Amino acid sequence: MFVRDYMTRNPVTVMPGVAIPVVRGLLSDKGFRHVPVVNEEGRLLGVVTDRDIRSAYPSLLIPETESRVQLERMAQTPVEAIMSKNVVSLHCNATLDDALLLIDKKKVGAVPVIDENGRVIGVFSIRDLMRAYSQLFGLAEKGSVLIVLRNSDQPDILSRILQALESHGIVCTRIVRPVGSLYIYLRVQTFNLRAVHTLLREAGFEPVVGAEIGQEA
Amino acid sequence: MPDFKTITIVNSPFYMKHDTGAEHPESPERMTAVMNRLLRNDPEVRMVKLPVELLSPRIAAREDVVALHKENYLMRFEEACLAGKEWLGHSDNRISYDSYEAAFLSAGAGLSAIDFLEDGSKNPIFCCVRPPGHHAEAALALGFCFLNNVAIAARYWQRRYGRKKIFILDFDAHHGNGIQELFDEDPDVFYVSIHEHPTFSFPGTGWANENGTGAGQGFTLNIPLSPGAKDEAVLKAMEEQVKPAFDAFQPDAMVVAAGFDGHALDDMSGLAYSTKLYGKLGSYLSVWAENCDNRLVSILEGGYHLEALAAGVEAYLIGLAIRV
Repeated sequence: MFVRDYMTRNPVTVMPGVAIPVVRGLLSDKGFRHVPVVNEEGRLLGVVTDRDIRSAYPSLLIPETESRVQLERMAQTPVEAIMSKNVVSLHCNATLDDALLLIDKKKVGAVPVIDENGRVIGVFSIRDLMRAYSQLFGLAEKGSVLIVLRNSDQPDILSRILQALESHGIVCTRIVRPVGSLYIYLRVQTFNLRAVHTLLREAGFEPVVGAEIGQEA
Repeated sequence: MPDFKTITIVNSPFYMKHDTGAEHPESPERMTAVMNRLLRNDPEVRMVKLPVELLSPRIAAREDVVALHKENYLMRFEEACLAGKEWLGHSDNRISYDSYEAAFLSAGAGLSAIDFLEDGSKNPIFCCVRPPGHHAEAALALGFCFLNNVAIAARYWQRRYGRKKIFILDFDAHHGNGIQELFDEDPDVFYVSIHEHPTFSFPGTGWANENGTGAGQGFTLNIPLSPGAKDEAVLKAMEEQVKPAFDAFQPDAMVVAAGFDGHALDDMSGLAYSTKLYGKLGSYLSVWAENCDNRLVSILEGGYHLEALAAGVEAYLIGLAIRV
């Protein structure tokens, strides 16, 4: 559940005095879109994105002579001139939920992860977030099947579902009961759908099957 | 009276010896249900008499099986059967003493069928076999499957007879992860699967965006359908996606993974096909097969409602065999 389990560790960073074209080369070589800018101690100063770099380059529409002057000037410019300062970061103890809320609120693609001393120890991107949640929800986990049950307000419904499954040796890896939802979703490790539906019906639950599943709105 | 081509059924009583225990959906009764339906020819239940002939399968040669499966997996499988283990890998995959031999005989049916066609037959041929195969991977038993019968047949066709390009259509309700995995990077085998959407269905693979990797990119086509999907969804997919893929690929031969568990009565999937759909699929394939000199072998996969399974196979074979 922690960002540190899914982030890119020991990320590539740059010092503030590095020239812009060098950083551009780095991003394109490595296929990154974000690079943290750090000081000698490794503390976070800012972030440079591929978009910051693109904005710093002269437009393709201006005359070549003018463009050349601008390119020469830019070659001398350190990256700190174009980096975003006051950037957000995630603490090494931050959870995936912290990351999701922050990325959603700030509309950023990646966030540096820092340790107790403010040193950059990782980068956590939207792709890491998707990978983490896919794994948590069992997406594309081979050999499993989703079972949908009608929800009810019985206080012990979840424990009774799990007891019914486990007493028959059916391994359940996920159980999701969204607040206010008409349905409860289970992910079980079996192909024997018939047996699972039968045992759940016998335990007093109502599996939702076929076209009914799509009609939950 | 419609006129039918003679249908060759590849089946062995030994398939009954793969004992999956009480209340297992993949039961020996599946064989009895289908064979009774095809051989009965009772005028009270059928308007027309289907001309059927039987062919005994051979046991697949080890070299044909290891062309796709790992040696150490086969050893584990054999040992588990002989040691009296109840299942392989997962408790779904029930086995008995004779399961290993039954699985080799199940894989052998496709090979016998191919030999039969290559010997000059132009008639429809159906392998009524168990255990099924399309979930089995190189070293993994999954979803009641141990050896990948369809994949083994496809590879055999290439190796033994030089039929290079093989088109596999899988209309079982579940995605054939094993077939996809085995031919994922192979541009000479085109795998098409029409199945219930992986978000809802076992085994949770077969996403629309999976279309092969490396040299095999573009040679896998996954068509997931929403739970509750009916005949129209399949027929639309056949017209709009499968037919163009078939035409572009121009295969030398076709193998069909014929599963009948998408039927509305079958509780192993959420799909809601009617028996008629299988007849229509048979008709499509019989026409398409003319483009590859009738080199078409169909191999049974799933189908767990005994009545719906028997009726589905019969409808499919009528569709394949009727002369138009």
